[in-house]
Amino acid sequence: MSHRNILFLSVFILLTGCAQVPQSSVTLSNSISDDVVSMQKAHKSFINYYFDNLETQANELINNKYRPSLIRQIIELDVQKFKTPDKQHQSLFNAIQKAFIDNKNLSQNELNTSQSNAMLGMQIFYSKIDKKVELERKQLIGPLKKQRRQLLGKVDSNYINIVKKNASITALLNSVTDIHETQQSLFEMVGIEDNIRVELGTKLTTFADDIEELQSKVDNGSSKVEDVEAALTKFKNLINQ
Amino acid sequence: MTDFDPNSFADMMDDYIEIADANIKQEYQRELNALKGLSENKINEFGGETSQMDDIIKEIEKAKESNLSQAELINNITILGKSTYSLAKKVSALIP
Repeated sequence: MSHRNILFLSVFILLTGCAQVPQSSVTLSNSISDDVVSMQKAHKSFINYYFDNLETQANELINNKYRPSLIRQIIELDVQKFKTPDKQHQSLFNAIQKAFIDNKNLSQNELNTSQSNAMLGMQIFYSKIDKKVELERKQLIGPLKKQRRQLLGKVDSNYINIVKKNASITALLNSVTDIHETQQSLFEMVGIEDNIRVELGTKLTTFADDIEELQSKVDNGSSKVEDVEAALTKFKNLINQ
Repeated sequence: MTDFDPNSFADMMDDYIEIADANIKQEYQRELNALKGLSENKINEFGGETSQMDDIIKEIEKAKESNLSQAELINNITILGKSTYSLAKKVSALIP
């Protein structure tokens, strides 16, 4: 191998092999995934809390305000009919009164018919009200359920995406630590001292600090030729090691 | 006097309900508006956005695969060594 190739290989190993990636960085990256999953649970709990609360309020509005108001207003409309002489016979209130209260003048046959019709009227009254109330409940709560599903779906897919991205970084870090282990084994095979990679990494960090210092001297015009020469000598020594 | 007709009453109930419903919705308009939940824009805002840099994952995966191949080097050397040793054993009686 030529001198030039050896120099190139040395620089390559220095620059690629000495970056410090401890196993704990893999552990930390893994723990970020756990943290993200925990945040996902918290975010979803908050969304569910918000929509549970809205649905409870919607049910309360339907049960405690809409339904009683509907019954009251329909009775009022029916009573208006009852008070209008030519429309009185259309009123359920009138039908109930005739069939169950003022029924002394009715024959048995008339009594049976009027009671049967009044009962049917009451059944229609309640079933139509129930149907309308449930329709309103559905129209109020349906969109909330849809929004909840949409938001939870969006949040889930985004958190899954974050976890997926983090898993890629974790796997990459893991692969770098594997490479370092392999490099260490190879160094040991050829009789190079233990932890040479870490040692070279530390020296390279010191060298990088020196270069930074030199750069600031160049920037403020206080650098000398000797400073540059000293930096070059340090780098050469580092390569030679 | 005409008797009460349940069928006509059923039709009348539909009218009653329509009138009452309109009145109630006016009366509770504020409460009903407060129960509308989130707009599409708010759902998008609160749901977040994480698709930025999705393409970079492919690059990272590629780098990881390359690293793992390099990390396999020591295993491959060991396997090669063992194979060579057993082959040599077969062809040479000198090796124990």
